Amino acid sequence: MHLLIYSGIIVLFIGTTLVMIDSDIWVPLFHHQILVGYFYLTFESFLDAFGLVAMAGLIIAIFRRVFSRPPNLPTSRDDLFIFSILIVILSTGYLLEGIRLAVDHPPWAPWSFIGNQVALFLTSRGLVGSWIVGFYQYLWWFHALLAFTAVASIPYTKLFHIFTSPLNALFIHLRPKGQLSSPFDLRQVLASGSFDVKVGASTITDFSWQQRLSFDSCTQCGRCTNACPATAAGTLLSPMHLILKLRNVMLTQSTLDGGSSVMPNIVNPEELWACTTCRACVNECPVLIDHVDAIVDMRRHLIGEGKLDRPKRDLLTNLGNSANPYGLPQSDRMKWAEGLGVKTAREQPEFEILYWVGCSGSYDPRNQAVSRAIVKILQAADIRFVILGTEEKCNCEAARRLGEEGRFQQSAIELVELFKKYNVRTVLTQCPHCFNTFKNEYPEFGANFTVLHHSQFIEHLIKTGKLNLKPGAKGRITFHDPCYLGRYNGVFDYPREIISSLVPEATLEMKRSREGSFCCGAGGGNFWYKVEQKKKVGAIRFEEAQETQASILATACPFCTSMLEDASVAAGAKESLTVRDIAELVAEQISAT
Amino acid sequence: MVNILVLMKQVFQTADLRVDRSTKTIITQGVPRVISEADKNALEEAVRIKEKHGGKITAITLGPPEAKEALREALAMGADEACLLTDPLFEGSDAHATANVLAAAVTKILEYDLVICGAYSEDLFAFQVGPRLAEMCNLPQITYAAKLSLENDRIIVERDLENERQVVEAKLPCLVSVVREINEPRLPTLMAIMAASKKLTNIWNAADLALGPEELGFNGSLIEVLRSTVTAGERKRILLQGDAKEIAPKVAKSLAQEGVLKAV
Amino acid sequence: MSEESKGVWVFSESSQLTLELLGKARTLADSLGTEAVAIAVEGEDVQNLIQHGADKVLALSDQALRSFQVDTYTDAFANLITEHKPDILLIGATRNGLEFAPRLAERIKTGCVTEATRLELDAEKKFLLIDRLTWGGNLVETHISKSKPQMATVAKGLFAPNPTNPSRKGEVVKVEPKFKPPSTRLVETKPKPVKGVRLSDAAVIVSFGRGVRKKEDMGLVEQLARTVGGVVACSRPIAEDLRWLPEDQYVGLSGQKVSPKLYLALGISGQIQHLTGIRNSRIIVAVNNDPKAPIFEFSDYNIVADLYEFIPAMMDAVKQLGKA
Repeated sequence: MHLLIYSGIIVLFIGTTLVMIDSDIWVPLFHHQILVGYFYLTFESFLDAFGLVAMAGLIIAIFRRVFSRPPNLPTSRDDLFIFSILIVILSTGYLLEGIRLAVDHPPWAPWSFIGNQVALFLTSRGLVGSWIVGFYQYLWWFHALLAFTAVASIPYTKLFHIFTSPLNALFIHLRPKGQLSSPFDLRQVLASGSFDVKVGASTITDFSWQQRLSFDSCTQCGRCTNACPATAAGTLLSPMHLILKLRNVMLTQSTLDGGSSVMPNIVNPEELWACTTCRACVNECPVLIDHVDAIVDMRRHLIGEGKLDRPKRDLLTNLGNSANPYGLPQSDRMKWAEGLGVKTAREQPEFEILYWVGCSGSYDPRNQAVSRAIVKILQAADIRFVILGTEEKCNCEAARRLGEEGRFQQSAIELVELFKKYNVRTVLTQCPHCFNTFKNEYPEFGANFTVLHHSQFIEHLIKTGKLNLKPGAKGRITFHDPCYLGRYNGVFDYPREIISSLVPEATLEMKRSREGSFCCGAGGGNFWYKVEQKKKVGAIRFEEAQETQASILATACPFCTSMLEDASVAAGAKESLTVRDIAELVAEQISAT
Repeated sequence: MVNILVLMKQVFQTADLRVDRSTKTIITQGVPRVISEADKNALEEAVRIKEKHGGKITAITLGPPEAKEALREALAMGADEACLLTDPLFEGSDAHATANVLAAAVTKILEYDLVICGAYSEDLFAFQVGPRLAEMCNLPQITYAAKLSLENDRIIVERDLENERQVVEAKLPCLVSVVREINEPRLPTLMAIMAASKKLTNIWNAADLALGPEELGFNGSLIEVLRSTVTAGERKRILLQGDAKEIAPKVAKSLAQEGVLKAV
Repeated sequence: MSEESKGVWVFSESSQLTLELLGKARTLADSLGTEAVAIAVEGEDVQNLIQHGADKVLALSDQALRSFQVDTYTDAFANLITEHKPDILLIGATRNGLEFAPRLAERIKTGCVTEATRLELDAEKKFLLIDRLTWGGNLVETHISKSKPQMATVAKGLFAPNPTNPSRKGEVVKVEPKFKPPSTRLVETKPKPVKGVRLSDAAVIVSFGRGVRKKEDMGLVEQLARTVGGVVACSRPIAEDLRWLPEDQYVGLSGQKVSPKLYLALGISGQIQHLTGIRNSRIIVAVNNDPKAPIFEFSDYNIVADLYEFIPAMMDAVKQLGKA
C-alpha cells in the first residue's frame, strides 16, 4: 500500500519536475527539447500509470483506516489533510491532462491513457467550450498551489518522514541487535580515574542527535504498539506514544539547553520499567526507530538517581554482593550437579567445551532439571566439557538491561579474564540472555570465543549421530521462540529440527512465531520485579499456545520456562499443556546404549 | 545546617553463613560483607535531612580494615566524610566496649548536632550500642524512629512501638536510632561507589582515640562469652509421612521444644 | 562492692510480661536462697505480683514515673539499684525495655545481655548463665556478666508465670527514688498506620499457596494462624493472579521478605522466587501432598500430607500443647 503511494508520488514528482525543466529551462536556454519522441510517449504512459498507482494506494489506505482499522492507529488532522490533498492533487492532475488533451488534440493523446479517457469524457459531454481554457488556467494554478502546499506541509506533518526516515536509516547504529550502547568504557574510566561520565538520558538533549532524528521519523503507524507485549498486558507502556511524547518535547521546547527532565511528568518511569526489551517494536518499525535503545537510556538515568523500589534494589544488591540475582550463596552454585560426575575447569583444565550453567540453571530447582538434562546429553554424546562451578558468577546481563552499566561492565571484565585464564574456546549455554550477551556484547570487552546455545549444539549432536534417540516420543509439540534467541539472534530452526527428530509431526506454530514471536514477559529485568498488568504477558502467550492444541509447550530459555509454567498453573492447565525445555525432551529420549 | 554523624556496621550477609560440621565453627570464607540494613536507613535519613536543611554527614564505622568498603558505599550514598575506627585491640568488644570506642570518636569529632544509627545490627540484634553511646555522651535518645523531621534546634520523631506510634520531641544534639520502615535507602551505582573513594576517609586506631588496652576488647567488656555452641545450621529436612492426626502432635511437640511454637 | 549483692529483680512495662519474668525469678531466687523482687508503678496490682511469686514489691509512688520514659526511669532505677544492690535484674524486652536496659546498664556500668533465650545458674550457683542466638541463628553464645547486677532482657513467651497462689504473702515497699526531668517530651500518641503485624516483623507466619483450592478455604488457614498466634501470608500467585489477598501479603522475590521464628508453608510448591523470601526463617515447616515438591529441599519439617487434613489435626495438637 505504502509502496503504491510513494512510488506513484515520486514518479509523478520527477515527471512534473522534468516537464518544468524542459519547458521553462532547457528549451528557452538550449533550444533543445528533452521530452521528445518515444521517450516522451513512454514517459506520458508511465506517468499516467503511476498516477493510478498512487491513487490506488491512497484509496486502499483510506479503506483500511475506515473499514479494517488496526488497533492503535490514530487518525489525526494530519492524516485527513494528507489524504485529501494528495487525492485532490492527483485528481486535478488528471483533469488538467484531460482538458489539455481535449483542447489540443495531439495525435499521441492515447499514450496518456487515463488523461485521454478524461478528455474523451469531457468531449462527449460537450464540456469543451471556450470557457474551458480559462478554467484550465485557474485549475492549473490551483493544482500548483496544492502541490506546493503539500511540499510546504512536509516539516509540519508526518510527511516529514520522507526525509527523516531515509536519513535515520542512513545514520542508525550498526551494532548487532543484541548489543546495547556503552555510555562509557569502565576500563578507561578506571585507568583515567575520572568518573565524571554522563550516563543515561533525562532531558531531550541527552539523547543523541540520531536518536532525536529517529523520534522525528515516526509516522504514527502504530505497528510497534500493536506488537508490544507490555501494551497487550495493559501496562502504561505504548512504544509509539513514548516516541511521540519525546518528539513532542522537541517540538514544544523553546530552550536549546535541554530543558527539564522528561521524567516523571512526560514519561512515567513505570512505562520504562514495563518494557521487556523484546524488540518486537524495533522489529516492526518501518522507519527503523530503536525504541529499546531510548528506553534503556532513560532507565540508566533512573538507576543513576538510585530511587528504586525494593525488588529492583534487591536485584542489584544481590548481583553486587552474591554474584547472582537471587542473593543465594556462591558456595551453593554447584549443588545442582551433585552426584553427576561433572568436572570443573579448575579440576580439569583440558576440555573442549565450557558449559555455562547460568544463575537460573544453578539455583532455580525448576531449571536445575534442565541443567541435569543437558549434562545427561553431553555425557551421552561423550563431550569433553567442564563447568566453572563455584567460580561461575552472573554476567549481570539483567543489570545492563535495567540500566546499571557499571555493574555489567565490571562483571564482563572479570569474566573475560576468567575465560582467558582457562583458555576457553567454546561456551555452551542454555540461557538465551547469557547467549546473547556473550555473543554480541562481550567482544567489546575482549572476549574471543564461540558461543553456542544448547539448541544449536544439541541439534548438531543429533545430526552428526552423536546422540541416539529412542523413537516413540509422544506429544503434539509447539515451540515458543525466546526473544533473545529468535528475534535477537535469528536462531529459529535448530529447536524445530530437534523437535522433528523427536516426534513425527512438525512443530505446531503459534499465531505469532519466529521473528514475530510474542514475549513471555520476563525480559528487561521484569522477571525480578513487579509490573502492573491487567493481564499477564505470560498468560496471553500461554493462551496462544493452547490455541495450537498442543500437549507440550517446548521452550529453550529458563525464564520462558518459568513464566509459561507459572501461566499454565494459573490457567489450571499444567497437565494438559506441559512446559518442557527441549533439552528435557531430548534427555528423556536418550537410549541407554 | 545540621552536622550529622551516622554510625554504620559492616556485617557478614547473615543468610549465607554456614556451619562447618567438623570443626563446629562458622564459615565466613566467601560470605559477602554488607552494610547492616537498618544502618542504610539511618544514612538515607541523614542524606534526606541534608538535602532539606544543608549540613555535613560523617559516616563512622568500627570494624576490620575491610569495613572501608562499607564506608565507600556510604560516601556514594551521600556522606561527605567517613571515619574508619580499626585496631586489633578493638576485637572481642562487647556492646559497652564498642560504645566506648564510638564515644571517643564522637568526642574527637566534637562538632555534631545529631547522631543517627540503626536500632539494631543484622548480625547480633542486640539493640545496645545506641543507648549506651547516648548515655556515655550524655545525649537524649529517641529510638525506633519511623519518621523524623527537624524544626530549628529541635527534632520531632515518630517512634514505632508495638501497639502505637509515639511522637516525641527533643532538643539537639541528640541520638536517634531508626527502624527500617523509615525510608527506602537509595542505591548508588557501582560507578558512584568507585568514584566515592576520592572523598575523605579518616582511619583512626586506639592511639588516635587515646584509648588504652584496659578499656578495649575483652578487657574493656562488661560481658564475657563463656562458650559458643554451634546450632544445627542447615535445614533439617525431617520427613514426616502418614496420617495427619498422628503427625501433627509430633510436629507440635518438636516445634514447642525448639521454642518457636506456643499455643495462644 | 562492699556488700554482697542479693535479690532477683524483675521489671517490665507489660504486667503480663512481669508475671512471666517473676516465674523465672522465683526459681532463681529459690536456688540462690534470696528474694524475688518486682518493681511496680503506681496503680499496678501489687498483690497480684506477690501472688505470682514476688517476695517484695518496690512500688514507685511518683506519678511522673507512671509511664515509661527512658531518662526518668534510668535515673530512678539507677538510684534504686545503687541503694539496694540487687544480684540479678531482668527487664522485659518490649521495645521500650530494649532501649532502657542498655542505657541503665551503662549508667551503673554493668553488662547486659539482650534477647536472652535461656537463663540458668552455673553449677556453683555463682553466676547467671545467659544464652542468646547470634550469627543468624547459627551460634548460641553463653554469657556471664563481669559485674553486678547481672542484667538480661527477656522477650514475652520465653518463660511462663507461676500459677497464682492467693495465700502467698509479701512485702510492699513504697519507694521514691530521685530522678531528673526528662530530656524528651511526648507530644502525642497515634495509632499505627498499618493494621496488625507487618509481615517483616512477624514472629510466626502461616502461609499458603495454590494447594488451597478455594477462596473460602482461606478461613481454615486463618483459624490455624490464630491458634498459633501467627500472621497469614501467601505465595505470589494467590495475591497477583487470584487476588485473594492484597499484594503486601505475599512473600517472595518481588514481595515481602520475612524472618520469623516459625514459617508454616501450606500447599506451597517452593519455587525459587518464594524461597528467597523465606530464607531467613528460623524454622520452616512445609506441608504438601507432593513428595517431590521443591520446598522440601529447603525446609526443616517436611510433611507429606493433605493440608486439608493437616490443618485441623495441627490445631488440635496445638491446643493440646496449651493444656499440657
